[in-house]
Amino acid sequence: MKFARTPGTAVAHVLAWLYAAVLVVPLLYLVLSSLKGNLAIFTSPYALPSAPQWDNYAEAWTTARLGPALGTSVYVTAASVAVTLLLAIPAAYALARSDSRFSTVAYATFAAGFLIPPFAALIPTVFLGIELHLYQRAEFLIAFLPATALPLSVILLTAFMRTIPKEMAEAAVMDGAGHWTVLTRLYVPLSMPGIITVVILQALGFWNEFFYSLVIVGTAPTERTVQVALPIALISENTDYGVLAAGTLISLVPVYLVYVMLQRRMQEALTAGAVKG
Amino acid sequence: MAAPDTAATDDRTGTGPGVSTDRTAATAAAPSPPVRTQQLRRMNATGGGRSLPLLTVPALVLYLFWTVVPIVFVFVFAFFDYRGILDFVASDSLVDADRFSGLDNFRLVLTDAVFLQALRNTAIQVGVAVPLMLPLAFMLGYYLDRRPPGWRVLSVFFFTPGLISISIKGTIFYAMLSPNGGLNGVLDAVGLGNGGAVDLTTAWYADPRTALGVIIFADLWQGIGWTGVLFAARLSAVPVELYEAAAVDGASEWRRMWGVAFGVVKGYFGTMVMLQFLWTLFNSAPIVYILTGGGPGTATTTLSFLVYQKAFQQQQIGYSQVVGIVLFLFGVAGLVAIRRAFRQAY
Amino acid sequence: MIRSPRSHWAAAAATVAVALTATACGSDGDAGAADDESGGSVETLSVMSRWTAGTPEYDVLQSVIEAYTEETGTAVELIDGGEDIDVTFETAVAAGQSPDVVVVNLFDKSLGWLDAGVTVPVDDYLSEWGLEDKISEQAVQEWRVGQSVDGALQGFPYSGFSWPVWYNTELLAAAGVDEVPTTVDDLLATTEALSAAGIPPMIVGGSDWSGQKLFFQIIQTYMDTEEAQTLFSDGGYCDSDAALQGIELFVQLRDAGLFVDNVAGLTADDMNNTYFSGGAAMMPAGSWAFAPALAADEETGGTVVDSTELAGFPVPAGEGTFDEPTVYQGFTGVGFMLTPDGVAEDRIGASRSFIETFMQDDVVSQFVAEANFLTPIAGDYADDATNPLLEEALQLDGVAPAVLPDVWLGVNSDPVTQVSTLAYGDADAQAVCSGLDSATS
Repeated sequence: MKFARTPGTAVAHVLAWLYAAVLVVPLLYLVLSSLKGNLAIFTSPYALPSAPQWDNYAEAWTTARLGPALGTSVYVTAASVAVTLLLAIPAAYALARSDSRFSTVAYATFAAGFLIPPFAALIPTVFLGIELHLYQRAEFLIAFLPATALPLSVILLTAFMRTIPKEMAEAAVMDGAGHWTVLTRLYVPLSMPGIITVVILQALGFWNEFFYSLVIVGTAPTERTVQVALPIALISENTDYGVLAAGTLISLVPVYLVYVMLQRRMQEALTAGAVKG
Repeated sequence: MAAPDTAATDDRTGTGPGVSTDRTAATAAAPSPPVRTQQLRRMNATGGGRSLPLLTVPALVLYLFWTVVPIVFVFVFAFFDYRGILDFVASDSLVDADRFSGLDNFRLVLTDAVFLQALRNTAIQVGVAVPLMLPLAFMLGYYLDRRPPGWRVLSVFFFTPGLISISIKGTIFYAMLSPNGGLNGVLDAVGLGNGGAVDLTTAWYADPRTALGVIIFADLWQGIGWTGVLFAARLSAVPVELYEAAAVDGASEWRRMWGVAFGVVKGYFGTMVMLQFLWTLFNSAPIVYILTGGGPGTATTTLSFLVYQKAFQQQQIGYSQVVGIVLFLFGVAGLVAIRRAFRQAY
Repeated sequence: MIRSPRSHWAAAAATVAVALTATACGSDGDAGAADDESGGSVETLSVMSRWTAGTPEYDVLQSVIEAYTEETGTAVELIDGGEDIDVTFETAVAAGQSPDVVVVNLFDKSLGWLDAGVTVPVDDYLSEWGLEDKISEQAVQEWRVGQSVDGALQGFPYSGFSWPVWYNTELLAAAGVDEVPTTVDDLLATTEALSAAGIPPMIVGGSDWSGQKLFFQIIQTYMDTEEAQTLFSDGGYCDSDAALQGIELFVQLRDAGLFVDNVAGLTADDMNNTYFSGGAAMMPAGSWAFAPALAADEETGGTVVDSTELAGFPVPAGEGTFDEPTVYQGFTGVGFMLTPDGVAEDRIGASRSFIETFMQDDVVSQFVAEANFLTPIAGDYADDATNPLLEEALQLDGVAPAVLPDVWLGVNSDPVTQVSTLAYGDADAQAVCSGLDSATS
């Protein structure tokens, strides 16, 4: 149906674009600041830089040692996503196919994960990390983050997998297929949009995680993630905001790449997948 | 905020549309060589055998370890007198019997003016943010779904802020709302600032009248767009015939939005309300920390921030964990209330 | 059990779980220790530092470490603490990985470390290592617990600070003010003149630590040292006449328009950068801003540094406990603390030589010249000061020292800052004093 041309819709257009502007302007400010000297940012925040200061980027890269930090973030994010999928896919498969009391309880248990207030649990988690000898190691995140991602991932994937008719699984079983085959040949391909969604959402969450990364993994240049490197290395009594902005933008590049590559599939997922209710 | 489609499932029975009915009939009817019969007999009517739930075990183990253990300790620490992190170093075990303080922490917290202020602030924050964000996001999603001119560009704009981390978001807002920052600059330019008819410029996050509003706005800023895009995707599955039928009956766009579209996605909407509620309740600490530090005074000290502040700034871990328990209980209560309100969707 | 296809799956799942746990338990979390193949002597000293990468002091630190390692053969593992050093240090200790030496200032949580036993008193080492004559007595006293002669020495002071008020004489002159104000009446007149000339008078970071310090500098106007110290640590502002008088003085100055618009929302960075670009006539800034000031002048081609005169904050004539304008000066800037690990038998030699390296003349000169340090180390370093502002600060007179609240506020520093932010807004004296009492309880 075409968009009717009424005063109401005109208002809608205006509001939507106004909102978009409110979203974009601050980001534009970030980009502009990354090319300016510190003083210029304060005196003329919205002006175009008279002479684009590209060395802000170089300085952010070297001062905050972004190379290793990005590497660590990529490593942590990729590994955590892998672990999450490795655990969530079989679990969702089981919960989707099974009606047992156990699986009902298990499902509710995962759903209850949303009820944990993260900051309250930070202190005990610190000590848990220490006890496991994971303190000051990026590997802590790989052990920990998937656990926090499981509620959402399992719930989401279960919803997707439940839409796969059980007859298909039965048929496969009758042809002699075991769980592994049913899972990998049937369920995974059919719920791929859901899996992609989980990958995007969790990768995003992992990449942006800050507090646990700061307190438990720490600030050592070899272990720290990019979210920790930026403030630790660049914020002081005399912060150079141009350099900080440049470093921030560098840290956004991988996230944006993942988003761009996968977002269409995620759109498909949310449209087609477990659409019910 | 993310969008799991839990509307699709019923927690109680785990079934949804599309479930096959009588498996025993199917298996009995199929011609089966002896080996296959054996296999099939092992796979009983619950569709997979007793082995199936085992596949959830690794996930459950990791998840329970990192969630249950810490939350149990949150409850435990609330009964002990731990101040700062270094208090744990002195004793050999994690729980030092000498430090048991019974209900002291609870008494202290529940009568503390700062805690009560935090309660008020959190109630306002949640009470304003959630009812504002969800309907606005829904409307935005509906708008996008109607494919207005430029909708692709708009979708990118709306989704992008959701990609940035909280610390970056905080820094950007700091710059925007600083006394010499973007917002005051715009107000000056349109004559609502210095020397204008009405001076609306203020210190925003340092002004006790507007500081909490700033925190709420920071959430809305990013959340409406992000959630809106997710709603749009969800709405694209609404059958066009429903809209057309309503149009034939003379329903306006507005009526079609709330009468038709909303009806179809009500369950999804309920889920999003739930998630947004929990997220706002639990996760305001970083944005408060970066933007206002809980101030001015205690104007923006929310329960979530209080948990962080007492534990990491003021060395009152016992206090912090009590607030954590309060948060947890509020989360449960809110969850139950919201589910009840959206019951029919399930 | 009859083997069936499903058991492969269960086995695979179990393997993953085991592998995960194995990774968790098996890895050795001891990030700091050197692999001593030689099996014995310490080859790495673990140092945690507050200095952030990209600052001049960090660069000097790096060069000193390089020289140290070359000379002694001991490697140094440098851990960046940055502004979150207190959390970083405490979690490291809780994890059993305490550093040997901590380069930190006396502020917030670091004030509690000696008491908690995670750092050691260094009185004995001061004399044993012959540093008693090297470091100024005043500095040493400031680093004692309670800043009293009986208090244990928490660390070796290394850098001091001066925290004067910067007056841009050019802007003052443009408003018809020829002399830097020294009394409150002068200040009020100056404010009026500046406002009339459309020049923003005083700028400060009302929302952060810089505003907090100025606030405390003003409210202690009617208190003597002991009174101020007790008040800052124990509270009781609403019950103290002197405190209320001081708070009312602050409110008076604020309401007279001393501070720029919406000052409560500004940060120290806002303050510095606005002043450097000639956007305000006065600011209270510490010696860490001397270098950026020069850099800013270079960037803009301005003359702010040349026009700046450093002086104290005016006091009421004939009233209060100060005869001269007040200034924060002190040595509770960065110093060296030692941990139990650092003074262990096998490590103390390395710790000692590390600290002695910093006490060498050429190293101190380097810090003075490149990082604009005000140093408590005995010696003539005034010539190394290349920054005109530093030179001026070193010769500052006609000022009286105010009590820096940090040591007394301890971990209440952050909530107290929220109250000072309130004070820079439009809170009245009563709201401010009760806010302070609440934050200090």
